[in-house]
Amino acid sequence: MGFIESYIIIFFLGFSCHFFVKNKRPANKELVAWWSALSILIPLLIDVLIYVGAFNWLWNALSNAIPWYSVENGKDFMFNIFLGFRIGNIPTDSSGLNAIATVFFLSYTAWFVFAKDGSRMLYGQKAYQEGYWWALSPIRKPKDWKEEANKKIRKSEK
Amino acid sequence: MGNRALVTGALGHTGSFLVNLLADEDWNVVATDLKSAKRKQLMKKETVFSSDFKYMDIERDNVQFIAADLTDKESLKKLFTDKIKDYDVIFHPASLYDYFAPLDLLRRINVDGLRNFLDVILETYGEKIPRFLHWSTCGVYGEPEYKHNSEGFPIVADETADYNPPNNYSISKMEQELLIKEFAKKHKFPYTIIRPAPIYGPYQTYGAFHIFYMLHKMGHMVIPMIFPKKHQLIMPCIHVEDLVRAAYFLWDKEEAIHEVYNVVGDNTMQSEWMEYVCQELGMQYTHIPVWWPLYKLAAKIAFKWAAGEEKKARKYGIRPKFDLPMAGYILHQYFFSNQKIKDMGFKFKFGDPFKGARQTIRWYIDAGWFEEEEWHLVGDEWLPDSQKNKKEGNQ
Repeated sequence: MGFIESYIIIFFLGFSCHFFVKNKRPANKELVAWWSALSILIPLLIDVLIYVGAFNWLWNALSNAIPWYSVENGKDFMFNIFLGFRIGNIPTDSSGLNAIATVFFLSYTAWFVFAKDGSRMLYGQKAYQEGYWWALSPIRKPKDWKEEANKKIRKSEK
Repeated sequence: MGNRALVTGALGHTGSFLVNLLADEDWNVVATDLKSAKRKQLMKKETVFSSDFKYMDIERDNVQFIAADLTDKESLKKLFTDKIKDYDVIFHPASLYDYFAPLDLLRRINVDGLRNFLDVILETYGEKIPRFLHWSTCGVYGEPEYKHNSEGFPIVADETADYNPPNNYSISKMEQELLIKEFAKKHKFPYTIIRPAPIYGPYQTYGAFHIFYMLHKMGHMVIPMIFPKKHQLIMPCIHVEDLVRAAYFLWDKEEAIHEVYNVVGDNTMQSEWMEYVCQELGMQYTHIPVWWPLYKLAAKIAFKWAAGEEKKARKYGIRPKFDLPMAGYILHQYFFSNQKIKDMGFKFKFGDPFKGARQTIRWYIDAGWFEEEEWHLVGDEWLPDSQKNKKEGNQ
């Protein structure tokens, strides 16, 4: 995963917290804590390993298998996963990039918390709350139960 | 023997409070409203959020209920039989207060209904009509053209502001006022008109209640802090107890005859009021400073969206969660004076809108209209109240 992809994944993991937080909080406190920890730690661990070059063998293998694929190290990959397909520029390796990468890695937790709080705002925090979705959910055509029942009957008759 | 009063719309929110106030003061009250089935059919607004919400009971020893319909002149005559017609005052809060209702229905009930009512009153009393207190609304002003002080802040509008009703309901209320004034020109008619700001208070199911319910359901609120400050919006409102107390205060005041009174609590900023309500509901909120033109743009977009939702709701034959005119409060400045009634000596119990909001919210929670989260271990599963009740209901 690159930084951008990790951000997207962590956002969804954080956002999905409301499924646990909203309805079963007292019972699932531990589950939420584990979910949060794993949602941050697993992407972080994978990304750090990629960044420090633990998967460099993979880029070599890919370069051998796909002639036009060329990524030299995990650092480049982290900043742009499409680099191998020659989309975008190759970042120049420098200590500046390392500093930026450190900030990105450190912000994984904040990004997770941001997504978690966002989901709580959108769907509510307590069992009886429905969050902003309560006000923003669009009006839907009410179901015609009579017609639905008739459809089922017609279907079963066939 | 105490005084006698006729109260129309007695099963409504304000009507039920008025009947109970009069009953507490040992009045003999004839209370009237539609028959229950017809009322239920017409007042669908009261059950938008829950059919369990019910207004205050008016069954009291000194209250006699007679069903009548403003659109049916014959039925109104039952309220003025020789046996009961010696009223000291007629309170007329009855009307269809529904922002979703079409104008022709509002006119039929509110304006034509009032015309029928006045005709029957005239037939009964001739030129000796008892005091008549009519409920209008501050909505008849719409957004007045405010004067501004040297710093650019709007100067509060009083009862002399022009009519500029912004929605169908307010149009019908304006037409009612004009009808009363016209009637008073032809006959000796001791009327007083009160114009309440949006009403709130216990038992309410429609109107300001939507704000409380929305906040309770959402659990979080973004509160815009508009700058420059001179554009910050005002939250006009009146507690239902103060409203009925104001009507009771005015009924026998000679100087109130042919006069109009705004009945509105002390004014406060929308942002401050929202913040207080959020705190009382125990919910989170975030302040966001917004430049006035940007706020106006966002509010206009929100209003357009609400208009689209209302259109859809009409197409599907259902009600939206919010009626469009309610959204008008985020867009317009409604700033009305209560000085005239204060100068007469009336003292508000909930003039401080924070005090009123607190009492109202506590009531909603204590009465179980607003849930408070409690968790129960059912078998090996932790469930909140709502799910526990559902599960037990299924068993």
